[in-house]
Amino acid sequence: MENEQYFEVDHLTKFFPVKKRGQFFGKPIYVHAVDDVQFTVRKGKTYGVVGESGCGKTTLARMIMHLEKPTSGRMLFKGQDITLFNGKQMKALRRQMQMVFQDPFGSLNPVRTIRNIVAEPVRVHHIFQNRQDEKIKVQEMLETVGLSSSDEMLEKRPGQLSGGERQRVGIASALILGAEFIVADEPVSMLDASIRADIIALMMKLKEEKNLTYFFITHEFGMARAICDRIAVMYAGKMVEVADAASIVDHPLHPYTQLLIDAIPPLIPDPNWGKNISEGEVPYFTVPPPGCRYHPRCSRADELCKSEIPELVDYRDGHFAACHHV
Amino acid sequence: MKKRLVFSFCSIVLVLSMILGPLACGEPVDTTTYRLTAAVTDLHESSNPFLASGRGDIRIMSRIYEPLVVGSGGAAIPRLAESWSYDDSTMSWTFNLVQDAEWSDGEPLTAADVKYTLDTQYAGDYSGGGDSKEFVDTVTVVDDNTVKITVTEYASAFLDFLNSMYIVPKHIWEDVADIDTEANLAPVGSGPWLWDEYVPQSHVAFKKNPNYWGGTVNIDEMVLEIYGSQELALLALKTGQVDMVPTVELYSYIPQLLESTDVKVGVDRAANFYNFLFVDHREEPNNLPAFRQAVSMAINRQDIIDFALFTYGSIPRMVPLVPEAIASEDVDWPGLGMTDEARIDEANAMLDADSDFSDFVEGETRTYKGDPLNIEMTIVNRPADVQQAEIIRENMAEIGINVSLKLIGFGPMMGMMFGGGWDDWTWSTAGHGAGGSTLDGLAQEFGADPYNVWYDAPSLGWGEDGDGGGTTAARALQADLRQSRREDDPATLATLIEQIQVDFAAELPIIPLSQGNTIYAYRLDTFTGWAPQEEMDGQGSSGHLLGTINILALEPIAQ
Amino acid sequence: MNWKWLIRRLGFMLMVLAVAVILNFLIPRLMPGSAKQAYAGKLPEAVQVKIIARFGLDKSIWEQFVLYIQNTLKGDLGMSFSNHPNSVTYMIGNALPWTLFLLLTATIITVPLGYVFGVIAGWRAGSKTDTGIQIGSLSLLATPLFWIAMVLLYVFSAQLGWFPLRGAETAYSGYTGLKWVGDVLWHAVLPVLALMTLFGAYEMIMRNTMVTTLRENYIITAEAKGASENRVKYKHAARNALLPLITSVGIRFATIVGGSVFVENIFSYPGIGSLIFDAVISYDFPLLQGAFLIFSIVTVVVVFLLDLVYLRLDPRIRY
Ligand SMILES: Nc1ncnc2c1ncn2[C@@H]1O[C@H](COP(=O)(O)OP(=O)(O)OP(=O)(O)O)[C@@H](O)[C@H]1O
Ligand SMILES: [Mg+2]
Repeated sequence: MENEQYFEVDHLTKFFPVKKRGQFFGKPIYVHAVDDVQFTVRKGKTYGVVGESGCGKTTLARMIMHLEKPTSGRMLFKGQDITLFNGKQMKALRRQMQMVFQDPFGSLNPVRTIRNIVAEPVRVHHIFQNRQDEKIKVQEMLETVGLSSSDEMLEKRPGQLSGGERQRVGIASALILGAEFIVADEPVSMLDASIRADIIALMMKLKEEKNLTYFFITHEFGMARAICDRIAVMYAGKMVEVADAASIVDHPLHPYTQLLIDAIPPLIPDPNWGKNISEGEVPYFTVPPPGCRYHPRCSRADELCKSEIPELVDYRDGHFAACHHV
Repeated sequence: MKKRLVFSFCSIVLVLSMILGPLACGEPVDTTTYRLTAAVTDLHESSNPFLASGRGDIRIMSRIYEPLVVGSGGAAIPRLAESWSYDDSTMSWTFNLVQDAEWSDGEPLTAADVKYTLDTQYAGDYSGGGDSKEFVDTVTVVDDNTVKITVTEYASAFLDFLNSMYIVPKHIWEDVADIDTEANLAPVGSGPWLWDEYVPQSHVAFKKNPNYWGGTVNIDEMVLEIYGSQELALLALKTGQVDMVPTVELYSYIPQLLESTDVKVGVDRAANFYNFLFVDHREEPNNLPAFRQAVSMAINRQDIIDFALFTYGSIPRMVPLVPEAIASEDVDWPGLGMTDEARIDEANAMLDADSDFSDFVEGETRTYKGDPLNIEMTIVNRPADVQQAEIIRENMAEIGINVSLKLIGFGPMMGMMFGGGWDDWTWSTAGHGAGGSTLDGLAQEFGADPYNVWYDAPSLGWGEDGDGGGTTAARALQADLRQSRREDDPATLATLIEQIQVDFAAELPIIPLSQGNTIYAYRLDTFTGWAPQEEMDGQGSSGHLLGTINILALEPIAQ
Repeated sequence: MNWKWLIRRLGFMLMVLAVAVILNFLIPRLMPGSAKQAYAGKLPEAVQVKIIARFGLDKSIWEQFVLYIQNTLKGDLGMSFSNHPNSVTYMIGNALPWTLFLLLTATIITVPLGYVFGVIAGWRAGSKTDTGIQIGSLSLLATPLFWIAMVLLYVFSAQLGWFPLRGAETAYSGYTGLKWVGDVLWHAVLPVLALMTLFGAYEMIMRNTMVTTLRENYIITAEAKGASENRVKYKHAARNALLPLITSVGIRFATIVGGSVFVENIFSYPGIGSLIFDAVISYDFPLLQGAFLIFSIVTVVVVFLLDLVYLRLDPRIRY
């Protein structure tokens, strides 16, 4: 059971057509937001995806949630191909798959009450016949995520809550249908550092209680290391290294992973920290560089890197990396 | 859910209004009631006869109230006074009232009501009776049916002035606290109609007075509906929604109106307005009578009438600014009988005779004392006015005067006439008396009363009369005119009028051009017995057709 | 209910009203010619004397102001030149219900229509449907109101004869009850349709806010929860996009008040608009001033009522 291939992604790709400013006619060019990605999430585990801003994490999450249509590739949930699920099938599937969003400020409808927001999924899926049962369920969920379940709270609007409280509401609403696979897209990145730990702790607690599986997106390697079982590192729409958390931290194979690890702030402040982190730009590729996408920023890059795209290769018991120079 | 409810409610209301409305209104009103509906575009919504002024009021007043006589241009039609006489001095008039007149509340109408009305009108300086307050001295009740009125001077127009003196019930008005603010929304009158319903800005409705002393009206109800524009009023007549339009002001619509065989257009030649060319005679050569007379001669008045007034006009037949009483019947205007060529030649000869003017050369502008005669003429930017002004411009070119047109709005034109600031010539419509704002404005600018300018005109030889200024001279002229009319001596009458007009043109900076008549239109398929045109002459559509006399002749056609 | 906010809005409303009243006092006194001319100029002399006394027109400006405020509070706006002895208040009192009926009916029908079409167009921005609706809205916006009114009158009343040529009800009809209601609605159809051209403005506002709202994150949240297309469209997107629409109704109300002058005049509708038109033609200053004052009061009150609606719809208002 533990090692069951729970959620699988195969050659998943997303190109966004974009037009240049002032371009009205002719073929659009494409942003390679996610390019030929494949991975497997195991039941009950937390699968982390780490990468810089703009590398395609959100796009990936949205494709998993069917909020974005993949350009190509397949997605399997519990062995079933869900890539081409229609609206009805998808609706049923959403009872098992839910998402927690990055932005607790924008992702909650500002004019609706907390009660309505949390209850939205059960209403959409017509779970309860009467409002009283629904209210009890909503209150239960609020308590589960550590919020007050008072009537006053139920009638509040998102604008009257703090960021942490809002994210708890978001979590409550994601869990109310009893979903077991949760896609969390940087759930704490927009929160104050002081409350991030609380939210993460809550999520971990819920994972234990409800036996959840997480697909956890973050741009902080430190956080991924702390909570994930397996970590994938993304760079410019491609996965460059995938491994168990311990393995990847102790023995990073890809120079980009190394860079991310170096960027983790030390627990004890170190005046020399950050000195040797290489400068680089967030790549935005409409025409990706030939060869390894990382080569323009890589210190080890040579002619091979410029011409040939490295494959993800298993170097050590499921520790994959895509680099010519491992 | 709630939202859906709101939507459906709104759409239901919209659909209902489209369906229910026509359904509810489709049924005809009680068919046994005969109703005459008239479309009006101006209606003063008051039935207080003391405050009545202008056409809109008279439409209402003349239905519920009556004057002693309806007089116009010397002819007088009896109303509440069945007969009248004056003594040899012409300073004392006696009016005999009709026998069985009574007020709509059942009280008898007596001489006391007449005395009360005249006294109150004169004392309060109200508009009824016009200028007669200037010379009426005393009003005495002789008996219940006889009133004696003494005047301080002979006034041939006395009866005309009484047109607008609506007799009111003393027993009602005595108790009115403040006549000036009394809306009088439940009037008690003696006329053929009883005021029944008034809806502001919409209509005034009358029911027939079953006890009217003058006879029985064959129509049960009359409704005056207010229309936003002449176009709509005429459209309503054409489509049969109304039975008549008492005043047609949109001449260009008349041919279209006449396409319908059920519609007839009538001309009332008494209620009229005049078109004038105002000449600023403070400037040379405008100040030369000969110059103005040449201009006057060159203008083709018949063209103006034909083209711009669609033939619903006539040559001005009375001298403006002179009391209406001296108006003549159709008098030829100098130059009217002549061919166009002869007229222009005559006008050119008049200018050529003066050495200050350069001689006429075809296609060139004349000079006056070396300066070219470039004249700017200001006109109101209305199609009919522009058409007429164009004709004048062409005529002037034929005598070597270059006229350029300056179009302005009606508002600014009024401002100019009142406040000054116009150059050379101005082309405008003006009346005199109550509506004579243009002439009054002119008088203001010239610092003179145009009436007095005329009376005192030295060249008429009347100004020397020290006693009473020109009034006596005017009186003498009026007496001559009246004499010739009484003796049915058209030749003398025509000469007199022509003399006045020529003198007038010499003295005043005004050249009369044309006289538009009041046009009315009615349907033939709803009522018969509309007044023939001859009967209408001299009586005024507002007082006549919709008032008492001919309304008695109107018979509804059963549908 | 947010009392603090309410009181603030109420205060603001009173302030605007005060400005309107003061302007109404100042304008006739700043005009060339005297205030006497503006108030009494065209009345019979005997009436002039009374008006001058009533408004203290021969006294100092401060005494005039006190009298003016007293008279205005009493509802005495002077006497109409063209319709004396009727007072301005009487004329306006008769006309106001009709104007309110027209304006409110038009608004109540137009706003939901603009809302629905705006939602449809905004939901599929860039589609053929959207383009079609945009072209319709833009052409309505670009067409002068009086022209539309004239075309409606010409086609439906003059040519087809489906609707009456004039007025708010059949003159002297004696209709009562339902029949009267039907008659009034029948007369209101064309004027309301003419005023409904504002639909274009409402639709465009709704569409554009809809487009921006659809980019909001909570829309994606709703989709992720499995909400149906209609639920996302109306419950989440349109519900939020509605707020700017409500604000714009207030702003546009002043426009349709102006439009009613043309529309009422063209349809001979016995409302304030027709009064204003007649007053301008006959230089009836007191009536004109009174009509403008009443229009500013109506506009301010409507904007305030919309504020209340807004308050009810947007829970975020916390000042
Ligand atoms: N709808 C879209 N149309 C065009 N380009 C898009 C669209 N959505 C995303 N992109 C582009 O795809 C790339 C990946 O975006 P994505 O939002 O997945 O990044 P991310 O890793 O989630 O970044 P962040 O850490 O800032 O959230 C970016 O370059 C982005 O500009
Ligand atoms: Mg993201």
